[in-house]
Amino acid sequence: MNMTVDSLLPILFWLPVISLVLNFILAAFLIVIIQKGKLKPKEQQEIEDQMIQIIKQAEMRSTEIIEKATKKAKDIVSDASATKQLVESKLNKLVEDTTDTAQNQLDIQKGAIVEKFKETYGQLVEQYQGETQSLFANMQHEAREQQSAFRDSLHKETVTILQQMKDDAEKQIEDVSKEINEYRNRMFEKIDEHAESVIKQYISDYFSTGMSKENQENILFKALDKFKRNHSRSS
Amino acid sequence: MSDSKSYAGLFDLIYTSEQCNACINALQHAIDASYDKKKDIMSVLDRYLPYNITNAILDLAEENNIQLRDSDTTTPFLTEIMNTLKKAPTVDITLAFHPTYEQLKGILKWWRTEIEPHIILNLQIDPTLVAGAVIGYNGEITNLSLQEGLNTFLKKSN
Repeated sequence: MNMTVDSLLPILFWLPVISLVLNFILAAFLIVIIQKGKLKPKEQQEIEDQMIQIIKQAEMRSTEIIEKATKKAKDIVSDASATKQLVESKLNKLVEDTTDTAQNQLDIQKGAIVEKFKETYGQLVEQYQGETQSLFANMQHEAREQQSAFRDSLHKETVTILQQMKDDAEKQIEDVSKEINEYRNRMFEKIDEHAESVIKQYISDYFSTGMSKENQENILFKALDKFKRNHSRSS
Repeated sequence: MSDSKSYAGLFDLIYTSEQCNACINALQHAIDASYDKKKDIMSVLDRYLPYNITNAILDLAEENNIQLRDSDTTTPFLTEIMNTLKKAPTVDITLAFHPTYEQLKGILKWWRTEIEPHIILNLQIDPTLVAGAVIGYNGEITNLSLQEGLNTFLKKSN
């Protein structure tokens, strides 16, 4: 059974104390018995001698026990120290071995991880390069499509705007032509009216000054004859 | 005497509606005077009418044996003449010139020969007609003026 120094120290401390307490209790017990038993001085002397002897023996015994215990404790302690050193050396070795093993495993795992990382990194780089190239290709394709769509849209928009401008221009030309025609017609009407008034005025002036009453009478009777013809037809 | 031909002598002297209205006005005064025995009907007619028209009325009375001093016969006689004049047909004629008296007679003669025997002229003057006439007869207006002909010509030429 392996015992450590730390576990033996309480025992080494309490063992003499317990022995002294037991001797003290025994002496007290004898004193009480003597007091209660009213022993005879001789007997009491004998008993006291015996008691002293016993106490001495007890002391000796206690001393022996203590010495033995101390010796045993020292042995135990020395054993424990040796054991401790052995354990410590074993533990150190174990720790060193474990550490080495762990270090080795760590190195192996680290190497594996590094390799795995390199592999994964390479794959990622390849994947990234592939995706990048694909992305660039898609972007170029989309850019070309957008450029084409934009060009088509711009072309359609331009054609639409030009067509609308053309329609607007034609409509404006048509409106302007219409306005010009209307203005021309109005002007012609005014000219006609003016010409009519001039002609009427001229004719009126001519007939009022140049036409004799005989001519007026001739025209009047021609008008009356016309009236008669119309009147006879209607009646 | 209801035949209008009986009034031919009277109508020969009345050309225009102004003359006709003046005659109607004079006849009305004469009718009013016929009820008053103190008044002389001839004097009343002379006061309002030219002598030739008054003479024509006297001639007409003699033809019909009417004594103008007898109010019983004179009043109906004058009333009948007046109603005849009121019912006389008229023509509204607008001329471009002021006709002479002879021209007026010629115009009236034409109307009474060609259209209606006892027609009366309602004459108006509008120089803007230039020549010809605008005639209103039987509720219809006929524009036979040179102005209208000129307008038609100018419209057609446009």
